[in-house]
Amino acid sequence: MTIPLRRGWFTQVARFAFWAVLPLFAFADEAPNLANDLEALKQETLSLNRDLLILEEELLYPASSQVALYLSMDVGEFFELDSVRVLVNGQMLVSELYTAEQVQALYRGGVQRLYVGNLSSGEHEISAFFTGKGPRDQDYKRAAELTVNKRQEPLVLELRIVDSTRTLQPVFDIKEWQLQ
Amino acid sequence: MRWLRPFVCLLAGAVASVGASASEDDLADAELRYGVALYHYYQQNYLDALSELMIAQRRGGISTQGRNPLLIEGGVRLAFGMPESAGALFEQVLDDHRTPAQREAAWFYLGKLHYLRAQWPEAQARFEQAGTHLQEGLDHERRALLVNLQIRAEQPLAALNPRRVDLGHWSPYVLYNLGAAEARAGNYSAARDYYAGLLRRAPSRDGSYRDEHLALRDKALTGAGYSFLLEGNYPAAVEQFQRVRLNHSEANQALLGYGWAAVAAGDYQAALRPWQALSERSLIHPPVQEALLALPYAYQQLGSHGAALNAYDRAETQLEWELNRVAGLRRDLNSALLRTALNAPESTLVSIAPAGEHNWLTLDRASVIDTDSSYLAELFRENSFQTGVQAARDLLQQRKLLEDWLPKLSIYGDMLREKRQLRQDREQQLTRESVYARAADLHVQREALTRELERVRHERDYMTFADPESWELWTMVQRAELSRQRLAEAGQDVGDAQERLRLFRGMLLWDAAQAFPDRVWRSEKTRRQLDTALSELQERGERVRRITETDFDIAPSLARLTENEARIRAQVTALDLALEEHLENLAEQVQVHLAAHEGRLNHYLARTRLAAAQLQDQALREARR
Repeated sequence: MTIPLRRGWFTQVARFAFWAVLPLFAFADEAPNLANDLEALKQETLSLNRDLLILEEELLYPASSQVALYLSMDVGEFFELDSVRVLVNGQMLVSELYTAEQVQALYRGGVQRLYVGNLSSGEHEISAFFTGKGPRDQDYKRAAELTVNKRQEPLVLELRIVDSTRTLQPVFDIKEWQLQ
Repeated sequence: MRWLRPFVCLLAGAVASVGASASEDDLADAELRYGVALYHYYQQNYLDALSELMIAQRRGGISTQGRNPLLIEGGVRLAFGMPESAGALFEQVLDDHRTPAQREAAWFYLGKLHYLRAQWPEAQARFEQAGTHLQEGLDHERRALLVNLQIRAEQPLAALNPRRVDLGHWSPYVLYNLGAAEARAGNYSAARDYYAGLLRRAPSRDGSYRDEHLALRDKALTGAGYSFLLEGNYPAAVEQFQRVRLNHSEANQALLGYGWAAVAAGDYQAALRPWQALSERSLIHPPVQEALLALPYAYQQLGSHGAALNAYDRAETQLEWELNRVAGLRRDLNSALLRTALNAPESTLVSIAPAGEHNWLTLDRASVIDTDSSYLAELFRENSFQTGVQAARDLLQQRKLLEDWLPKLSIYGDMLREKRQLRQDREQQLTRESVYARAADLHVQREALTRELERVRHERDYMTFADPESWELWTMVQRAELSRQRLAEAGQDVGDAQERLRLFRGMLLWDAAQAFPDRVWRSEKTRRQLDTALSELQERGERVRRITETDFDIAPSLARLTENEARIRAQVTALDLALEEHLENLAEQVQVHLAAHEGRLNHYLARTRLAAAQLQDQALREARR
């Protein structure tokens, strides 16, 4: 009689079955020098990218005409954001539809840079429209307005959605930042 | 180190939730950028997050009041595969006056860095510094890693009650690892207790954790089955193997075990069914290769020599075919193919295989590189390989990032040159229009008018602003007065004329005086118009001056563009060199690994041929008898 497989074969199979998950807690064993070289390359790429972003901003959006819009939210208990539209002097400037991932990032303290562009000097009326789900899962649409005077320094505005614990409603406003 | 990245997200909860509570009025550009960095970080856009933080630092840094920029940056760097700089930042957090929660988060991540470098005692020491104030999710991971360290060190395992192991979504891993460790040590009963602990847990509702939990259940059932098999409890082993999901990868191992449990119990007939099912599956899985030889063995034991011989023939054909496939894969799978696979967009699943065949390489969000080939799976599971692949993908990502800048820099350069030309043209136009000469003339006129107005007001010289007709009459009166004086000097009587001339002069002055305020106002208006014209000219001149001055900024900007373009090209060259080296290294690892599999297949083929020959000899001998 032939026995094609060696005796105790399934012991080996069993041993194989007892390893498998530990690699999920994998251990890095990359050569340290190589890893350091890669990190140095990454650092140089990041520095270069930073310099390029700064240069681009200076070229495209000089301080004298720069306008930047940011969006922030607090807990979001009373409002679930779907979209935002921003108008300047009645003209559409930017609009955004939000994914669940983006909304989560905002709830957790992230601030979205909604728009960076240029605006002429003088007075402008900024309007922002927020749509989403309000308290009791009702469709909710609210607006906030602000008149601003664009001067030589960059204009920085923050659209804020804040839960009001007093009224149990979301509150929307636009804040103009005074840059130092 | 891609596998690490999702876990790093937990850091956010530990250190960044305070970001939103920052005080307001002293926030500046850099502070807003911190918020933007968090926004990218929470969406796992680590490159964007790091760029924002670095720009914020360049713009004056981020205040630490209520924020943890160092911890966040350390976390982002760790996630982005920069452990050295991440470690340096975490060390800084320890040196600083931070809250206990922040310090413990830093200890935890330092421990994890040492763990990644296989520096076990250092990792353990740092993990043990944290715990009291650590966020729950991080603490679960910390405790899971401490158990792992214990297993690695082959220390006696602390008797953990499987029912009381509560480490969130880490629990199934910990229970499985503990079970596997006990099984390796020969403590099968203890191993099964841990496996049972895992099986009692309801799978998570979270999609990704749920899939992993179910895969671990299959592994635990398979492990429990083999432990019964090793103890000789075959019915219990079969019962465990039967609970493994048939349409998942672990089923192959379970089917093989099921057959061997039946064989060990002497029930060869029962072994046929799982092994036949297994032998129909793809030969790229080792249990299927094993089954190819196990199946004829069972037929032999049942006395079906004809069926056994057929099964050996079939195994030989299949193994030869599989050997050809592996040889083809070895021929095709080089650094260029790896580069193509790794260069694909991250969101897409990339298959590298002829149509209708198994995919050798796939890429998706769940793993850096994956395969449905068991030949490669073992290699791909190795962290050094995954780290190497992630490094290659990072290099490709950096290369793309920098290359995307080149066309933009070219456009900005054109834009600046066009702007410079436009300014030069405008300056020339202004010069041609003699703006400056006109301004000087107007200024002289304006000064003369001002002086004249002052004089007229002071002397009350009403006739200066008289209309031409009144002025002509005034001239005639003046001439008549001179004539009257000459006649009077000649001794003639001019009394009547003198009286009439006084009357006329008086009338003319009266009329002029009446019109004087209106005419002064008109002159003032003219002067104001001159002022406006001068102001406009001055403004235009100022613009010209600014243009001329800012024109000097164009040259430095152009120089910066040129300098950065050169930096990009140099960096891309460096990245290419590193990438080539990495891909060659990875391709070599794949080749070595495949060669080992090829050897194993050849071994099976030789055994199959030998067994078939022996069977035929036996049949011949029996026929002669």
